[in-house]
Amino acid sequence: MATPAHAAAEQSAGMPQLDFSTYPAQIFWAAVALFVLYRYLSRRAIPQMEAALAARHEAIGGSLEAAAAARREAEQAEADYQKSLAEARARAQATLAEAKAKSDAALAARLAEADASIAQKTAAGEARIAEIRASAETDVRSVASEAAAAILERFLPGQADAAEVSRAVEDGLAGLKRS
Amino acid sequence: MADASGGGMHIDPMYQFAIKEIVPIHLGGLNLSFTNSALWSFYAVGATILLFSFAMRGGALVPDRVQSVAEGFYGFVRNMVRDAAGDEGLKYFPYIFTIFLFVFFANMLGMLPYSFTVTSHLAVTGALALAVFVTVTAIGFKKHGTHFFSFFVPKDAPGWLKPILAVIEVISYFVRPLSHSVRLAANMVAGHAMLKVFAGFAAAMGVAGVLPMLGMLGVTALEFLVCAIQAYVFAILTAIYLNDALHMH
Repeated sequence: MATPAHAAAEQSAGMPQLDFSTYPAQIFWAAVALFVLYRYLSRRAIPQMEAALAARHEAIGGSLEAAAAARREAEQAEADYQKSLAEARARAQATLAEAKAKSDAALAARLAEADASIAQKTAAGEARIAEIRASAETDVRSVASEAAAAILERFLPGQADAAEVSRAVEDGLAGLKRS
Repeated sequence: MADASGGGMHIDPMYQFAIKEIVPIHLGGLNLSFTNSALWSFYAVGATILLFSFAMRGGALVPDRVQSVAEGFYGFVRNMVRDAAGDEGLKYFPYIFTIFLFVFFANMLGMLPYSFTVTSHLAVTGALALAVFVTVTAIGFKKHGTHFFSFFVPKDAPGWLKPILAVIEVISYFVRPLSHSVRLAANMVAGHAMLKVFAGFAAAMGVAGVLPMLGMLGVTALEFLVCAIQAYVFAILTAIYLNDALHMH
């Protein structure tokens, strides 16, 4: 059989596409080729591709998760650091306050001590002043009584009553004191 | 250019599409000879298998260049199917992927000098388009039962217009495989024939043949683009027809 397809193509020099005698062979072998390709793609290529893409997806997801974990860790460390910093600061503040309180107390104690000793000295001084004043008053009284008695003796001899004189002096001194 | 003998003036731009028997096979009255068309079909399939098995030999986490190309094909067609036909359409992704890769590699191998373009023949593209048409229609009826007939009747149309529109819809539905297949084959034939004509000019014009040569440079680049785009168009139309069957309008 002298291949009609070939003959037709050479004769007409027209459209080999319209030579229907070649159709069965073309369609048959194209179908076979397509079937082979379909089997290969559906059995091998596509599953392999899906597996590779899934693995990549998983790996990327894993990496993202690891990154997120690292970030959480870093944030935790930061929080810990801030916390310890705050603690240290609080401790320092407490120590400072304690020291201040201690020194304040010491100062207050010293001040009180000083105040007490000053008061004591003042009291002692005042006591001595009072003593001196009392003895001076007594001296003045006796001198005045004696002077008054001597004056009376001169003017009214033998009539001076010592008790009377001392009472009058006493009154006079009281009047002096009052004014 | 094989028959450009005797001065090179006789150039038949259609000769490149001639079917030549390599191994004659006759079953009964049927001529199922292994032809150059069959050979280049298997070259296309072989190129696809070679690319994918080489690309996925390691299934590496970080893809190398070849694996990126294969994953690019996969992702591109998969997204196209999902965009056109939804997640339900993904069930048919392997079929559409097969069609796309077959058409793509058949188109591209057709760009080789002295090669044969399988997809330039209406027999192959027509059979593919008819297979898509029959399968998609079967899916439509399986999914929607006789309700699938309402696909041909626009819901919002006024009552008296419905019969006329239904006739138009039915005709346009049955024209689908024709436009689907002729678009691809005609693109391949026209582009390749034009290249051949230009090449004939170049051979016939002597030194001045540089000009058509330069023109061919551009047209060849354009042809590569057309080869890729027509494969894409064929596949996306398949996905769109599938979507119509799955979801109707």
